[in-house]
Amino acid sequence: MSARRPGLRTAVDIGGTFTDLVLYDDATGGVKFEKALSTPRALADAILQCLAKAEAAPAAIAHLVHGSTVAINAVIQRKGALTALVTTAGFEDVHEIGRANRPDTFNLFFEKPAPLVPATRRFGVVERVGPSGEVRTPLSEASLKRVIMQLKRASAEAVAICLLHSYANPAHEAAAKQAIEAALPGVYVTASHEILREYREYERGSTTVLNAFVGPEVNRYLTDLGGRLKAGGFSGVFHLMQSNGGVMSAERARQVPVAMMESGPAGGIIGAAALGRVLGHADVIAFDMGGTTAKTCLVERGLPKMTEQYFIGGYRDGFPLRLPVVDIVEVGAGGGSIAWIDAGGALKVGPQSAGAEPGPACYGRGGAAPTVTDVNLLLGRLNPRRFFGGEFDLDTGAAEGAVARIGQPLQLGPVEAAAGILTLADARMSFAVRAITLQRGYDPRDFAMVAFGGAGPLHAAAIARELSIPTVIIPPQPGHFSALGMLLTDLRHDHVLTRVTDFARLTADELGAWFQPLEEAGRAALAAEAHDQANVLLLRSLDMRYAGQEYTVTVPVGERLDGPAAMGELRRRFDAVYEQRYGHAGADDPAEIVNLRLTCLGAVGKPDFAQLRDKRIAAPAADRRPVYFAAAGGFVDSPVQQRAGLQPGAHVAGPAVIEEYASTTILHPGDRATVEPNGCLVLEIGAG
Amino acid sequence: MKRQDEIDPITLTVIWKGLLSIAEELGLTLRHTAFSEGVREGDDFSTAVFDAKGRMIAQGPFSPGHLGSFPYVVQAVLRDYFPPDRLRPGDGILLNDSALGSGHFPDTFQIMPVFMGERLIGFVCNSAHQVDMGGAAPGSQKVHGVTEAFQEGLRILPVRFIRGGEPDEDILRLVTGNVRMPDKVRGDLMAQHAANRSAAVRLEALFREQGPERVEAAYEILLDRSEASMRQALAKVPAGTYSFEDHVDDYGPETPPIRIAVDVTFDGKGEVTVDFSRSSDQVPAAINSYLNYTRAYAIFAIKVFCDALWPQNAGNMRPIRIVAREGSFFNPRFPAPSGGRAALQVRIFDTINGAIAQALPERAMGAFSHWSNPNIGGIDDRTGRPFVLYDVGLAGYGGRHDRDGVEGLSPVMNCSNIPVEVHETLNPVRVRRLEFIANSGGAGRHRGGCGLRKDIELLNSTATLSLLGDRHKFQPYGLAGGEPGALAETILNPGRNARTLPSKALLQIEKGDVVSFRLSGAGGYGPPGERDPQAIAEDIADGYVTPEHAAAKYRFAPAE
Repeated sequence: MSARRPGLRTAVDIGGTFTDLVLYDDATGGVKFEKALSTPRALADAILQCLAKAEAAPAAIAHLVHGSTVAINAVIQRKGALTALVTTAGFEDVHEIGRANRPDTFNLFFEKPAPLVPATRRFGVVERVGPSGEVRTPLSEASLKRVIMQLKRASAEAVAICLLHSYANPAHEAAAKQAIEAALPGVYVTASHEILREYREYERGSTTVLNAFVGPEVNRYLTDLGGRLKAGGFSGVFHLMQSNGGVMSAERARQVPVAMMESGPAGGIIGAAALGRVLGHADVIAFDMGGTTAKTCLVERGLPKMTEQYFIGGYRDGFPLRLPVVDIVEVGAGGGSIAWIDAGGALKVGPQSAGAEPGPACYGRGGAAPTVTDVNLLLGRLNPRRFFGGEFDLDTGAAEGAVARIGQPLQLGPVEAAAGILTLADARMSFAVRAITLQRGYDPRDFAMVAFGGAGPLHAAAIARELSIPTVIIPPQPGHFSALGMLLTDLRHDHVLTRVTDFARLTADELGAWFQPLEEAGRAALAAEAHDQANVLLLRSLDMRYAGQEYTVTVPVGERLDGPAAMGELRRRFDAVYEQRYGHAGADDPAEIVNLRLTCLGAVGKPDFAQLRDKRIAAPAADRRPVYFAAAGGFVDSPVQQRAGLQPGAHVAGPAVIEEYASTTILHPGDRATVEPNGCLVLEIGAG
Repeated sequence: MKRQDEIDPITLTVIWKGLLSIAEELGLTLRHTAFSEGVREGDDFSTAVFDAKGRMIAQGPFSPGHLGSFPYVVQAVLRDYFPPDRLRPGDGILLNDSALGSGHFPDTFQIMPVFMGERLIGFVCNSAHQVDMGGAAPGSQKVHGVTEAFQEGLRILPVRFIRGGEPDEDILRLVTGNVRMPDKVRGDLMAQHAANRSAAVRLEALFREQGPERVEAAYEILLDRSEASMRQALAKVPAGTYSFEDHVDDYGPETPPIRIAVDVTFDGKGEVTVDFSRSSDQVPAAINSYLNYTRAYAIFAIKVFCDALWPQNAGNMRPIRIVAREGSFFNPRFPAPSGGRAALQVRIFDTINGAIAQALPERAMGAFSHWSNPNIGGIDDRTGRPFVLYDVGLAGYGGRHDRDGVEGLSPVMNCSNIPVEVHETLNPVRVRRLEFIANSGGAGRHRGGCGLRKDIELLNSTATLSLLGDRHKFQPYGLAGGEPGALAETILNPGRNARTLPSKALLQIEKGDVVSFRLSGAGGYGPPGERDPQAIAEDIADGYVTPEHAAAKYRFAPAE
């Protein structure tokens, strides 16, 4: 595609409850936001509904970006394909043995989750490759034939292949895949080297199994959605959001569906990074608070922090997935989080959530447990009559009853109890922000916070204050921001190659030569997506450690890689990255590299942020009401503004409440907000 | 509970979570910067925060082995070596004595006093398993042929290792001059210090934010509540004395078994005494369990059974008494050697489990598969540099009253195994197989977990193999009519001149030798005759048992 093609740009984020759509018109700069209930059985329906509501014909859409929970739901509900696993003979049980550690030291009652592939569908082929890629035992044709028979007998719908040291030499895996595909037409086959070329057989195998497990389902979904969009006249570019914050083509998604596991949350993080850049903040803390959890991620110099491994579905019940994913720390504190008293008599908040049904007590749908939303209502922070733009009223009496009940055994009145629950919820969320900043050697004072999600703007100022973050940015339509962020992403592919090597013995030329095949693979993937090669950015980095360590830090490699000077610079950079992370470094100690990493970015045309204000909502007159502020020791009569009525350049001084459709921003005494030309609210915390 | 009026429940929670996060963060930093395999793979380290009186307030969720000894370590150091009034800002104390510390020299403790201005507000501490502390064999854990602690390496009684915030280079030189891998030990000592330093900054910040009076008032409440919760849990256990006996294989080739006997007495009012006095006398080999180590795993076991989810501190340890006759295997006199005592942690737990099963049959389980902790070391032919393959073999859990034992999970200590691809990249070895051993789990209404087999071939010209395993002679017991798991075996060159090796030994191996580690199966629970035929059929399909074994143990005939 060309870098920019005029027309409508659309992003669709399918979440558990709602499908969010953002429509951006390149020609006029206009933006529209729509919502529809997600339809679990036919996810494509909600997309088409949203488009109809926005009066956008599929034929008019030049570019559609899509984030979907189809892959992660298949895993969490264990509803993927009947999957088989082919390993090196003698290692069939590695998938079940795993790494053998447990989440809590003191809990010996921990039950490991059942493996995705049981012993009855794990088959070994006779072959062996060594750590340098040398073939020690050739692939046995006879054993491969036997495995194919076993796969047929097991009626496998998907097959994962993970052979030892295939990251160093994929020949056996490739041959096995070819033979299996030829013998079993229609079966979805994945080989581990196609997903990642990194050592650690259990984790690589788990990632490959996950890919095979969701492959058939994701392919059906893409075929259905693609067909229906096409039938509606859509002929634009179709991209899928990945967990790494980039997008990929549908063709690539069919091969590596595991890359779209965390596609929803990634959109908001990318949006926060882009918004920060527009407003002159390259270093940003993205803060996304919804109904069930709060998520936070660090953006440094415009790039979200990534992590190389996470457990899909959580450490307790999940499986490791080793692909780069935006490094989100999540805590069970959202609007629906329930307050409770533990066995020792201490007040706690979350992680249990009242969800949408029955919801917080104040929704009046039968919820009896006090939630963070109830507390916000009691403390005057939410408007009982303008929730979701007035779509339904909140029941203050029910909220008060629920909070009073929990306060009683603690001898706390409803307001005291509510204030306590608010403090604890804010503390939980600030621990999450602390985890991505202070615990990793970053000073929160050097960052701006971008707060979004329906509940983010309610709590952002308090968390920022706690951690001395000077600036908070609230984008327009904070509840839709994840979908908006998807419009701002580039094509992205990550490649990794394990090469454990003594750094001192490595020359710049050798290192450059090792990167070569990764770069070729990256460019080829982008070319296959019909991407203009002029807009390609390659980012190289190395996973490094001191010789004798196990854990690594990731060190960026500069554009020029020539001569000993470049290697010296790399070494200094490693020491500096290590020192920043851990507070000490060993400049004289031998270092080694473990992995080469390459990120390939293909720039995609994006809307600018000049005009993101939603002008649909009429602004009612300003109002006042008492709002509780702990620092003031109680309720303070505070002005209430409608965001739609605030013009660019307007200032609001705290204490104040700024309301909009589906979200509310709280300014504490001493905070000050300014409205930017693009509609963002910029809060200066404690500015006076 | 009067003090509760002085501090609101919200502030209390904020302080408590703050302390836990300091202790946890300290450990995460240590794990990620460590050079020692024991720390980074085996999680063989611990962290804790103490108050100014030396009482343990909070711990990180790491190795139970040091967690349980920490309070005794800090108290002894403050009482006998460094009274608080002799400590100054910028100080840090180092020790590794086996009697004062956690039972063997490789565990180095670092204790840092924390000040707010001139006022002592507490201590942050961590311990880490160093790769070597000198002595008779690499790793300082040789069992057989070591008869006194002085053969086990460098013994450090508490010294002021950090002065004015900087390590004492003289002490560092003395230490690194006595160990086999000085760079690694130096790196880990510095990592321990750096981790303490960052925790101290956070503790001071917490005190400044909340004020020392409020934090200290919170400490009293936390300790009292922890104690009350533990007493409440202990009081629920039917009063009585519950006894159990088992044996460790031996303490080296051609040595007799070691008896482990425990008497656990619940008084019905909230206290428990765990007494190991009836066990064997201390032995002339490096496997004795110093009292701090015995305490650590005994307390761990009590917590697991009675109060697992309440974080450990000085409060909930108050109602637990751990006793062992002086001069016995579980309370030896210095200089008893103790380097290989890691083999005992699972056995201490197993024995208490056997006793408590009589009182709490629904909490107990059949005995663990045990574990193996072998080392293969030498000079790599390819590079001329030393290599040490440190391995951790982890297998099954015993059956419980309501479910089968879990497969492939770390018992007691919380370790990870090491990937085959990592071993082969770093060391001249090839792993030939890694798999469950069919028919090894003890039969029962609920089957014990399977043992694991791992075969390692040496590709180097020669190497030293050190074996630290157990359950080669005494099977992991079953409970309530469940059968014991199959015995462990270690076999050199299976299939060609096979030779059976003892569980604990040191020997040379040559290129092409294959060492086959076969961990025991875990114990079953309940009579095998009560096992659900459907579960047996699934076991056969999954390969956990063979049809022949199912027929013999369960009289199982497959449905047509």
